Amino acid sequence: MNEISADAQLAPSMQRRLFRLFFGISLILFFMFGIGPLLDEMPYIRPMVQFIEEREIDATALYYTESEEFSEAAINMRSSMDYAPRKL
Amino acid sequence: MENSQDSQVVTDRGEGHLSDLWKKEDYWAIWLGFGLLILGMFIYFPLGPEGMEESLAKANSTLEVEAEKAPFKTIAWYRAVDAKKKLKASSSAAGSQIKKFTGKPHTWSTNPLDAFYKSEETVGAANAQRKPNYDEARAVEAEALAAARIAEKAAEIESFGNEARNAEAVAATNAWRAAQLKTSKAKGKATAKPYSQLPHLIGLMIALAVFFGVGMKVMGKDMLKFMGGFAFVFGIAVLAYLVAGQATIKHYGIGYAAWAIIFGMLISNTVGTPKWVMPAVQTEYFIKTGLVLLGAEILFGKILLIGIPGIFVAWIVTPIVLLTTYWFGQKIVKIPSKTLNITISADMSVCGVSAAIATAAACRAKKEELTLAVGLSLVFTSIMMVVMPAFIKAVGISHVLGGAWMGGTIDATGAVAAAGAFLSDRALYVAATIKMIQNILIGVIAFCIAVYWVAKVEAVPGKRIGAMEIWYRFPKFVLGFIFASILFSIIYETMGSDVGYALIDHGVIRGMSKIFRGWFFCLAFASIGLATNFRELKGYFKGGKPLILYICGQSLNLCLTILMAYIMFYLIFPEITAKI
Repeated sequence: MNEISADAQLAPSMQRRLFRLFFGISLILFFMFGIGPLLDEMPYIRPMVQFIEEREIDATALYYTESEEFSEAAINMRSSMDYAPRKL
Repeated sequence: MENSQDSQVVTDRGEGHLSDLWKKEDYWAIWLGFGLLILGMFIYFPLGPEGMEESLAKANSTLEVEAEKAPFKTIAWYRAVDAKKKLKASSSAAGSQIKKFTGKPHTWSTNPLDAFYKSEETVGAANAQRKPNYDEARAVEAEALAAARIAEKAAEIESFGNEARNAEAVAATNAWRAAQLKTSKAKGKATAKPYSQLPHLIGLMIALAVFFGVGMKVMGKDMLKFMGGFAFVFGIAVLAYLVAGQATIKHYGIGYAAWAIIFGMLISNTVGTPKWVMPAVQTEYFIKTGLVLLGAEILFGKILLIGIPGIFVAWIVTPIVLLTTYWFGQKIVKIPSKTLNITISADMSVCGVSAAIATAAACRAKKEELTLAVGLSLVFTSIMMVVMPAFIKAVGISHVLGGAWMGGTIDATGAVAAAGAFLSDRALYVAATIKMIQNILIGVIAFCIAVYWVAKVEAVPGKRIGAMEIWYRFPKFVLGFIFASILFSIIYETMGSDVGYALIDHGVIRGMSKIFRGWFFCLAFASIGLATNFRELKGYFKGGKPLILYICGQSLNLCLTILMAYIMFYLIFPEITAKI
């Protein structure tokens, strides 16, 4: 009798945990395909979103070596400083 | 000599053995990190593009001539810079193979399988669909170039003495550059290649399992158990990269670090992290090895890129904000944990997640504290990335000043790129340069924090700690991190910035160390998530003190940065601003 009630207690616990896992995954999917696209269409956010897509900017880069734009900026800045046009 | 019950408190013990060199994790991080860096140097240093020296000499000669010729950047000037940009060791066959083998999942929109596989037929159809856009962009670029040539010629006829003609030439050249950029992006989309990522990911997983497993074995841990669990941790890392590569997610700058923690925590706080995975949950091992690689990316010569204004905005303001925020957190907000305080202060004032990682490792912060700091940083980064350029445009702040402001205050590097470019290329160049100089500061900050923490914070109050004890307690991987930085900085300066760009920036670093460093950090964050209890994490947020600290610190950062940028770029060094 005690084994049956122990098993009965264990099974809902694992079920509950699995439910929480799938609920968490669902929230992520909801953000990715639901809320995210809605936010993308908001007037203040849309221009930045379109720009990031057109320029293929990696807004998730953590360090300057992960961003092509930083490489471009560095070489342009160095050239601007070293070979600045005359009469500036 | 005292014996302390608390292992976090330093007392004079004088311990250290030669066997630490192969038994301690910190040293293994150094051996593994340097192993990869040395391999990178062997691969890329002999791989300078053919005729590199001649191409550089020709381009620099053109730049000198064009700089003397006109009071603005001519078409030939830009073409010479573009010629230099193409010289990259990572474009070699070896570089392409390394990139292919170590590549993370590709960007995708609605079908996650696109991240791992695209057939030749699918890619061919997409390319055919995009070709008309590319052809149109090329035509627009050709027209813009023709117009720029006419405008430049008209200015030249008047010996560049007519300001109106010069202004027309500059505008036409800028229009051509914008069209050129659009063509480049359209070309990339119209000439995509097919890929099949899964076999490479499996191969990479096995290679990394052995790479880290060897160290585990020598340190006396079970290599096979580690390798078994590693597959799971690697799977979480791949999942993190997968979600970070989704189109909508990319818009908000929510990168792999956050997703690795989220997925790890989702598992550990629901079904639980399986016991067989735990031997591979080695947060510190992965982070320390990644940090040694990061050291090679900290090239001290870059702090001079924009001259003294850059140093003042990035290296004077940043430490002031860091120390002030830390003091504020200790004395006013009264954050209970010093390590949480310094980690948040560093990530807010320096450069976000990468600074948080280096600081947390240097002061031995708890993984929950790093998680909290990363979370705060990413939330505010997303907001500032959208709000700041809009504000700068609305108020009419100049793009050099606005760029410096954004570069010095927006935490995440990628978000700085997006916000800066959104304003203008000029803003991007300044923002990116300032942020790069801040990135370089991480090395100094990590070292200083490590010394301070061992010598002062972890010491018994009132007890003086000897130099040897500081050495024994000092996190040794920080030495590897600093040494890698010093070594690569010296090599870079010896080579010169042009050759350094080709062989180090776009060779050893972007072709090798950066790739592995990303994977190692992702594994570390997955491990953090798999070992974090959500209830414990909630405890660190009690009273909202971390949020208050972040907001107050960032407010100070915003005020001080724009003030210093204005003083430097407009009052003291306007001639530097004119060159940008």
